[in-house]
Amino acid sequence: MDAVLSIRDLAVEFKTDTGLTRALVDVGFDVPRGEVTAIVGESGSGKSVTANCIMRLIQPPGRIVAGTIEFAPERALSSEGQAPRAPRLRAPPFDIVSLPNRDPRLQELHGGLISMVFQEPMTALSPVYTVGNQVAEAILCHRDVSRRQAWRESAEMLERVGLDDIERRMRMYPFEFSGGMRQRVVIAMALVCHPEVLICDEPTTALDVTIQAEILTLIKDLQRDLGNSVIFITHDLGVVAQIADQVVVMYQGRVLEIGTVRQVLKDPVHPYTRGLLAAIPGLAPKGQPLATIGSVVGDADIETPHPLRRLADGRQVSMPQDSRG
Amino acid sequence: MSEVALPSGAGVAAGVTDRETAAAISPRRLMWLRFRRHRLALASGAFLLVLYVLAAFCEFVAPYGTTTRNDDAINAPPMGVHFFDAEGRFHLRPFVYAYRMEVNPDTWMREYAEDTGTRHPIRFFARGEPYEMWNLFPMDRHLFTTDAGTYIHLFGTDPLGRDMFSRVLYGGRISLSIGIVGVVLTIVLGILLGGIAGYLGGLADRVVNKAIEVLQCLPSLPLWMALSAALPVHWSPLLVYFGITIILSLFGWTALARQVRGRFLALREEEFVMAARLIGADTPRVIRKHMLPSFSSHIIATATLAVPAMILGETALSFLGIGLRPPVVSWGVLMFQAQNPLVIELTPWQMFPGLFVVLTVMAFNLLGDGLRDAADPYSTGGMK
Amino acid sequence: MHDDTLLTVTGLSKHFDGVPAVEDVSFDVRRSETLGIVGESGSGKTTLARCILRAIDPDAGVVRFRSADGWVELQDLSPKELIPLRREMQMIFQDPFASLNPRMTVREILEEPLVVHRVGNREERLAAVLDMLDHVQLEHDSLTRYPHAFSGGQRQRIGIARALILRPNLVVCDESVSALDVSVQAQIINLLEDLQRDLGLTYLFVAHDLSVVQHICDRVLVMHRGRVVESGVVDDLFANPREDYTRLLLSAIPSPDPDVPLRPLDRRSVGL
Repeated sequence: MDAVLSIRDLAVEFKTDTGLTRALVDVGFDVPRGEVTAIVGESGSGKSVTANCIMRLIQPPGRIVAGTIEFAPERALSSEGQAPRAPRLRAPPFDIVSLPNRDPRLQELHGGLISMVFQEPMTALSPVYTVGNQVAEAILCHRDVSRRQAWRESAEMLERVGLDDIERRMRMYPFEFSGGMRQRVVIAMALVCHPEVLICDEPTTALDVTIQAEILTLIKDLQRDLGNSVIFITHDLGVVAQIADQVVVMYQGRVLEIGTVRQVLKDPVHPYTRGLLAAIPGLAPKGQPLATIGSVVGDADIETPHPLRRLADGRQVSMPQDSRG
Repeated sequence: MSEVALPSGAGVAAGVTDRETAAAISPRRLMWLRFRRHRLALASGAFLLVLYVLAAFCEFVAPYGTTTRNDDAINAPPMGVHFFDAEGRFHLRPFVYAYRMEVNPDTWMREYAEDTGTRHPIRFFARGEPYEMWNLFPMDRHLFTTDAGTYIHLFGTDPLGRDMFSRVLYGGRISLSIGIVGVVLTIVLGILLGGIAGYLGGLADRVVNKAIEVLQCLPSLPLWMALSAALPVHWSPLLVYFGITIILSLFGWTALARQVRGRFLALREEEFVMAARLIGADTPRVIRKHMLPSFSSHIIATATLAVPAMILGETALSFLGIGLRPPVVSWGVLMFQAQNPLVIELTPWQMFPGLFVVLTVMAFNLLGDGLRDAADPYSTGGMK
Repeated sequence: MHDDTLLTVTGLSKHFDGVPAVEDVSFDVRRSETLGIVGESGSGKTTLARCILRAIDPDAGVVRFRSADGWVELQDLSPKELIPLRREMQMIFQDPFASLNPRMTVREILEEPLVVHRVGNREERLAAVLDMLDHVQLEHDSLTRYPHAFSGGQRQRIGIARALILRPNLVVCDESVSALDVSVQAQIINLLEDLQRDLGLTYLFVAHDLSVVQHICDRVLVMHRGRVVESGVVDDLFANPREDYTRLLLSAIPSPDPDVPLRPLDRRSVGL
């Protein structure tokens, strides 16, 4: 498999008032190139921390204590002496975790090669600049083009994410937009430099369900057109089903199950995944109590860590040897 | 990012046990734990505590009264406390040397040097100048003094030969207490008016707000000056003292009232306050049980930050000669005497009161900052 | 009007600074049923719920509630007159972090409704609190702890206990499970259903998550821009929505089955 990101043995600790909290424990998975990988989990599962590690956003009191994130970009890095976007000249893969803070590759990484869309679009947008300015600025930060060119490309991208009346919209401020429109702008900003990996951290959680459907369709369509890889973080299995090719199930900082979307959602192996699916209200018959994780399996099955093990059908599960496979 | 700080769903198990115990502690203890992390604030608090204790017992701590004169030491510099004498011999009991005065033949100034021949040992808890503790109990023991007929001037003397150390302590009593009394008045006014504005809203809110705006527009110093000039001349020092305090707090309440009003408005919208109303709690109970506890700590912090303004206000007025007047001794009055630039050049030890003002104000500000940070133990970790 | 009607709302309206939040809403709630109110943000569903409980005052309309002493019209009562009625109608909030006073222990939180309404003496109140803790499946040693010592699901249980300790008839659940993780949400939904059965509660269930509403509600009102666009028995309405807006809403729910693709209706094509 051609992986754009290979995460191995990643461990993150947070120092709190009362001691160390292990936010990630031996997290490892591959992000296949040109596909959508969903990381699904409840709060405290470490799904956002994983994304922040890839973006090198872990700040004290948090610390990456072990592990590697190998990034294999498709195109060459300009900081290695080649023209940006020189076709098909692969840069050698490198480890994001051990990259020194001042390494020029880190600059290129942020927003250039890997970009991120957050849950709350307003935090990603500045209230004092027009939308067009902000999208164009994202281009100018990473590429050596004229303002006029940047503006034109911004307009193209904004049109692609579904804005109409572009020239007028670009001269408006974020607060004049609805939540869904803002998220579209943020997605345009994230994609305008043609990143190889787009990380979406719960991008639809703050949105209404009808807007969520629009944004999901948009992200999926754009991914198909642009061919980039997407890491999609969510707690909603419905969203996972609709957007993901590969699914990584996380719980309490550990990876419990990795597989294709059909494997994980239609035939889950790990008791936690099963419990999670059974707890969705829409699936249970009316009048009967919903299955809760505790009522599906003994807690010990979930709480005891096991190393990931590859099954015959290619998926990986964190379960003891004798249970299945 | 905050997700790790959240105690997660019902499936919590691994790694949370240590947090469990931490979570059972009360809000007050949580505040103390957070305050303790601010070393500087902690040190400032300790410093202020010592200062206030010294000021409260200044009759006992100071070796002399405010008017006692040492005619042999006019504008004399601070004395050093020694353990080793000129011959290098160690003495268990610390001592000071007497002054040796010479008149400079060029400038006709008195110049003092240590007379290493005459040692005056320091006696602790010894009898000295008689005084009345808090104007109530006649006593004559002092924390430290020297034998009768000899003097100790740790901070030197003023142009009349009065001991600066004693005067700084007595002055501290006035200046420090004005800060506290003034702030208490400020808090009462601030909470009352701010609370009315914030809870009732509407017309009351508008009236209080306009009053605050008008008061904050007025330049405070000229207004203070005008008002203190209006204090009757025949008033006793005590009455003037209270007059000044009231003048200072009349203008000091605005900031606090604004804060209280803001907190009230914010808290009124809090879900737990709405929950309390919905279970049927009446307004007084909602305020007493749910709103006041949530910002009492903020009020303490704000009040702490307001004390220095009071102290500086008193100092400024007295320095200008329109606040407290001799024979009352406050840091401002002492600094008034040190106004002459020559003082700084020739007898810099008369600036000691100024140093104390600076240290006190700084300590209050640092303490207030620490308190403010600790005031809301729920501001980080878990909450949105 | 049915004999077992507990609440009737007629022509309720509420404006904020001239902008209508709730516009001419009318419906009945029957005893022991669960009536869902669904809609997207800004549809006015939360404002409607709060107007009914007089957490905010409606501008127009009539809210009739069958109390123990017969029918009362809530909209005209003074705050003082409302206090005794609070025993019979309660609210469970959305945010389990914001709706509990962080400076009170669980015991103080749960005892407060009893103290306010002067129910029982000290021992009786404690017994009632412990009994309620059993109902919401919390340990007795929770009593001395503060809310921040609990997880989101546990806090929501405390909020439920506070709402139910006065044994109300009508309970308004304002997005009471939407802030919770799926697995915790399932537990709380089950708890709410158990309590309804055991205590004979009537729920007004405000939510934006249609699958939760489908699971827990008997009837449902669909709100859009402050108005009720459609109402009916939940299963019928979800199976055969008559209004375009309801259809749009239902088409937008992502199915957890990857073989049922998401085909949201276009807002413009349904004229919204």
